[in-house]
Amino acid sequence: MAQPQSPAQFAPANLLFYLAIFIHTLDAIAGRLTTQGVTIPGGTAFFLVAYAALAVYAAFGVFGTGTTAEKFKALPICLAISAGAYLLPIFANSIGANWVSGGGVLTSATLVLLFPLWVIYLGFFESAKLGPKTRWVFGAYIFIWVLWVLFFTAIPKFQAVTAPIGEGTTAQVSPGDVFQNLVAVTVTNTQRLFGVARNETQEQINFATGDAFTARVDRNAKAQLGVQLDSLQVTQPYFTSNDPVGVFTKLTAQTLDDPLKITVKCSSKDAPGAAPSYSPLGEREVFAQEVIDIDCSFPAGTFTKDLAAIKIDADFTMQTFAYLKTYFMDRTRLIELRNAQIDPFQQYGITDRNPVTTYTNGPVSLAMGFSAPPVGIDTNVDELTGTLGVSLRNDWQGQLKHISKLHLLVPKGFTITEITGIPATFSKANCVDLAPLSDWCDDSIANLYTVIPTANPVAAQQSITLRVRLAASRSDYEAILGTTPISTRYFKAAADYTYALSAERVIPIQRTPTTTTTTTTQVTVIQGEPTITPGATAATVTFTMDVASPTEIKLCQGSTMTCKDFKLYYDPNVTTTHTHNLTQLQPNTLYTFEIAGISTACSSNNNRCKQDKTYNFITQAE
Amino acid sequence: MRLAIILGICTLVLLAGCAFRTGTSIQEVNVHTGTKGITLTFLDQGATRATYADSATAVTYELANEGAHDVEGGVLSIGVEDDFLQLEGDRVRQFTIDGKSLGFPEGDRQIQTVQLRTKSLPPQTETVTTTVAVNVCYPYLTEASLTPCVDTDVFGRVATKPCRASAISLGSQGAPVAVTRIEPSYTQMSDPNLVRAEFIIHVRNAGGGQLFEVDKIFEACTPQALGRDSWNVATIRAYLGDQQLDCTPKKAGLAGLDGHLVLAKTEDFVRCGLPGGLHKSLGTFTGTMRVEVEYGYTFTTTRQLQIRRLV
Repeated sequence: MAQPQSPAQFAPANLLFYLAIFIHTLDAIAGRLTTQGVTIPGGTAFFLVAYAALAVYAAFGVFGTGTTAEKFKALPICLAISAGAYLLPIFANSIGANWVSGGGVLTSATLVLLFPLWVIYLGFFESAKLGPKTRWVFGAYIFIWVLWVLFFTAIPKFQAVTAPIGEGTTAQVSPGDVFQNLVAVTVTNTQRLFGVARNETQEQINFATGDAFTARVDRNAKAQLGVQLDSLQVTQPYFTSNDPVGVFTKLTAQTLDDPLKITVKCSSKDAPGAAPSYSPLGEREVFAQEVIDIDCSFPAGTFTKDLAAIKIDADFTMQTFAYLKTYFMDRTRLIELRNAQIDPFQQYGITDRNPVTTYTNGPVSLAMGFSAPPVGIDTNVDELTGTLGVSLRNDWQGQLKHISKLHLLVPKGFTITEITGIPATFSKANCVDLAPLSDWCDDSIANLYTVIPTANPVAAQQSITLRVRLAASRSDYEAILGTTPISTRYFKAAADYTYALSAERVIPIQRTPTTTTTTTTQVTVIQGEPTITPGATAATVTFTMDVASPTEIKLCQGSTMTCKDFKLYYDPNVTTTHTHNLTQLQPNTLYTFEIAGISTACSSNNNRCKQDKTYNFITQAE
Repeated sequence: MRLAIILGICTLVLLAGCAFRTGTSIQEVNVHTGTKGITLTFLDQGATRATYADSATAVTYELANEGAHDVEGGVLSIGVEDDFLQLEGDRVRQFTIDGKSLGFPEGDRQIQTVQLRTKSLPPQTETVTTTVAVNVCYPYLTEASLTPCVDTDVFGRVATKPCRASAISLGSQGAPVAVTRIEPSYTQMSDPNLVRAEFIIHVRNAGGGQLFEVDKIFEACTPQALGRDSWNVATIRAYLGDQQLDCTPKKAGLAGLDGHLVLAKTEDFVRCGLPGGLHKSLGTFTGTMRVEVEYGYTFTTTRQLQIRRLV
């Protein structure tokens, strides 16, 4: 007989049990079903990690007892259970497509029934590890579970679970067909699983503000379009007020069609009137792909403060293109099909049931939203109206400065009657107006409109939305519906805008006398060792040089001289013996310094005759 | 002597042409089997899955009649995404194609090509994937033949009978709609000399497409509505010997003997009875029965085409 265990021993298994219920419930409510459930961006990756973590915790915290080897031995089984729990709803989504067509309730029910593998395993096979209260919870869970089963069996739709009979089979529901369907679904979903895991987080963008249109970057795009500005580099390890202050960086630009027009500007808010020398000057055009070196230099003495913020701005014109596919049907026919319980998508071989906007990559994403497809065209009414939502979102960290133009192509038959959301004017245009890039635009299948929005600059991760009212009259229905039972039409948009990227770097400027009375012309070398007298927040360093010259101490916190936030202490006296008071130090801290004599003999090193040796000391405790 | 040798060689040659088929007979081909009607398969030959923008391309498919009924007046409509492809030629086409027969057991097969021209890609776009869909709509007829046991001895007074009346399960009849089961029942009529003969006939949509009213072939492949209650329906006629049975339910507003099937959940049944009943003097015998189901059938096959930018 099993010995009663103390509640403390139950804790890991109980925790695992409740964690499993939590994750399963979250999965059932949030759902990873693509057709019925509520898709959460990144959900696939989240649940993958969650179930993997559950397996690891189970192996190392609950089942694997004793040695590490035993814990690793338990890991494969735990991973297998987690894998099953993770994959079942995905398979259930497609296998059970007929089961769950009734709507969200059945969807949730299918999920609850099928995949709480961890809960089932713990309750039925490891109940001894669970505490009494947890076992009671499990009993209640099973009771609800049985109620679900009874609920299911009362629904004729659920009873009619048959695999579709394929070509070449007899008019019987054969187990072979069911198995074949299962295998096909397994293969498809495995591919989908890896595809989703790889692409979902990168490609799906849900707009948090304005209209919740979903858009996906062109998954076929290989080129990183637009402009990228690297971080600023300095021309010297440190600058004094006597030095010219220079920065440089690299700008990478790529385009496929229109040349990019790039304007580079260098400035500093710490020297507003300064005129730095920089290159390239003026507007530069980039075709295809190009890397541009940017240099900027401020003359010596420009900065009067200890810190100088230098900024390089790169403004460029860019175009983002987007298209949204949708489907149109005669509304009466659509109703007929639905009354006959025929899925129009399945009937007409459409797998992309809920198309989202595809946009070209770049700094701005462009998303559109229209009525849920298939859109029924009621041929009995004189006019059809609808609204197309168009959102532009600043995806990069720069600023969307100005949207100069938005070209909207609506399917032939539709006309734009009004634009709201942001102030904008619009006019009907012809494809020839887009020359020389008009060949993708076809007046015979679409109506082109040019929209001039008046929008304020859009900051990073922000978006603006236009609401475009559309109308079609009775005479236009034929153009929209085409000649096939379901017509595929595209809304297209091309936004021309100016985008501003900037890179800034704050550079410390060490104060030095603007002139020295005597300039030493010999190389100066320290004589012997310096005398260091550390205090708690200051230290005194005394040393002797072989030649009378000004000297400088460069001080770093730590044991090396590779720090970025160094301090410089300058003694302008042209003498051989120097005493430097190193101030503003931290108590009980290790510091390292080096000594340099100032001499024109060391002009290649900014007149600093650095000594080979470095010295260190520790300040006293307070 | 030389003539004898030549004659001998000729005889040997003729004999060599004869196969020794002892124990075998000419195989009878059953064309009324399978659940396929018209099939459409895209062929790889002549149609590259990936093509370039601003170029001519083609999509080739094989249209085959793998069922047992000849099709005349079939319609197919070709749907392309006009934003990416320009179709050259008619979008709606008619076809006629023979089905399987004893003299032509494979059924007719036709290779057809759709000429296309890819359009320019949108700006900053490297590739797009577009879909070519072919909607096929055709009239079809399922013919099922069987030999049910006709039994007028409703009270079981005859001990020895040549056959026993029981339900008959059928497989397929070389058509996407199959007659799957026939359940006979014989009951006494008010006239003591007559027996009511009824058959419950089960029909199932075993293909991958949808049924619709047979006289709306063109409408089914074009955008317009077919009309209320025009989907998932078929007309059924049943014959016992030469006499047509009276089938119910019937299409609303129509008289006659034809029955009306509504295969909303892929299957349905009708009840067909012999008008006037059977005279008891006929006893028990194996009869011949023929069932015809007439319907329009439609399905869609799609093919994806990737268009790449010519760099």
